[in-house]
Amino acid sequence: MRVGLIAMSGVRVRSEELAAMGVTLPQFVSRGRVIASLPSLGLLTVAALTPQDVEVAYREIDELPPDGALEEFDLVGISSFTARIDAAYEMADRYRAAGVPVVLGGLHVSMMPDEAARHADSIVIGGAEGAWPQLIEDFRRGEMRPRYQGLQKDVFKPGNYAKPRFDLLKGRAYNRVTVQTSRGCPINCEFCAASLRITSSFQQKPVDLVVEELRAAKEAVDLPFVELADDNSFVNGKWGRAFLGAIAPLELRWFTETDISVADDPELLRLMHAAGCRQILIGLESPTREGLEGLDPHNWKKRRFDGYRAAIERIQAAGISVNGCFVLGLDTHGPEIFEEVRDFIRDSGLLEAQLTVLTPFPGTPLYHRLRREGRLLQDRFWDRCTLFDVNFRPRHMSVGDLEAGLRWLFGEVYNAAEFTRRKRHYMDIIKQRKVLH
Amino acid sequence: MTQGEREAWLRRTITRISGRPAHEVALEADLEEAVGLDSLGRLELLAETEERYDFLFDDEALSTATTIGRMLRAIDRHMADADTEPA
Repeated sequence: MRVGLIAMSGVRVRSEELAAMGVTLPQFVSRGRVIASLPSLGLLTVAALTPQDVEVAYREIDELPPDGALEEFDLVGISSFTARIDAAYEMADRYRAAGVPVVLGGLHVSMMPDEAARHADSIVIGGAEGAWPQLIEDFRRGEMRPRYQGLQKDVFKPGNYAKPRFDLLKGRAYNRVTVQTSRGCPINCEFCAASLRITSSFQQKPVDLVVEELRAAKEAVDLPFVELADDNSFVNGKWGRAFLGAIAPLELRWFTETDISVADDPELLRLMHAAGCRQILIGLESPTREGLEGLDPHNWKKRRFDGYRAAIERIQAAGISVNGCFVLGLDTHGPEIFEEVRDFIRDSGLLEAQLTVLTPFPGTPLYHRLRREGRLLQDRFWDRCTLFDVNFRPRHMSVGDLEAGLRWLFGEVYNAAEFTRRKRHYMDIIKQRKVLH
Repeated sequence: MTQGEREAWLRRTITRISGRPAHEVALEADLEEAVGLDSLGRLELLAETEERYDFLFDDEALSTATTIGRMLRAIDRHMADADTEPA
């Protein structure tokens, strides 16, 4: 039996103006290239959950000829982001027309199961743990069910957990690989469409399992820059210290996403740098305190805002650059927001900034609210869920204002001169750090 | 310090930052392709080079000094300028 796992990597901006701008903005292009080239950790996990006597092939969609012959499989599994789900459905339809059963899974499928079921013989809702092994067993007996529900908790417990098959990446040109240390995030922002949508609570992987995965990833992809595929890696300080102590001997360089509270703990920052952390992405979201109102159920980010600049300074002084993430088009944002974001980025000394437009991914609380309020521009806009295309009516500006403001801000933040200024500032921090140490 | 010593220092520093041996990397090989030196690692390398040789890369070099050869030429230019400066 041969199973083909097809990953729909990469996202293409729909707006022609933004796509054209991207070519001339060095920092925008470099980050986009990294994201587009990340392998599908979900499918590597599915591969690991497949019984050993089943042959598994991992394929990226862009490796397959668009209209060419289909590779022969007994069963096909496809996972996709929302923005490429239509291409995933098209591929699924082609395989099914050729008589090959198809299983669809991933975040979008979990949020829109009825839609996905129209293009699949079976769908997996939630994570693959607790679903895929049973699905394979049922398939072999000719009794595959139309739906399987993955576990929402205890996914890292023995019997449920499987180490992702990083070995399937051997011989491929990835400049980064992803390793997950946790699922979910306690902050629970309204717009978040990440792993917290398929998990019932924050779940942290035992340190020894993470170390084993990092060793396997390192062996498969020749000392890559590792990207921790977490929503918030350092929620638990005790776990964080144990994790950092355990991975330091691996001599990796890595990036992760976490929240601003890591800056409260100088020892944690020191351990992070010593363990190879060279950048963290933090969802700052908005450059004003008022802008953060109602973003998360407990206004956690709003309460932290006054310390944003000092926190960025402390983190970068520890030798860890900060990629500050801003979301444009929040309900508190008017046309003045674009200049405010530009000024914050300049004043705060951030090395990098990620600018995205508020995106109502299907299934998120934001999507349901905007739909209820009649503010979605279309009923179905999945191919525009790129984080750069506007899909809703902002509260305090027009759609055109938001689109034009985003383009203006991209030009202000991502141009070569500004990028050079930020690099120069960060290099000064590195040099100062060397003097102090 | 001779050019050979400067080159040896650069190769040792690249090896330490990238985690891959840079001793045999061709002078004009792109460091990202040759030893996987990512953009953050390159900033560390540039900063350490400035610190060691007490000069600043110009803005263009911050983007274009992506090989050992280009970095050496930038250091050499700085040394030549320093030698010709009036006392």
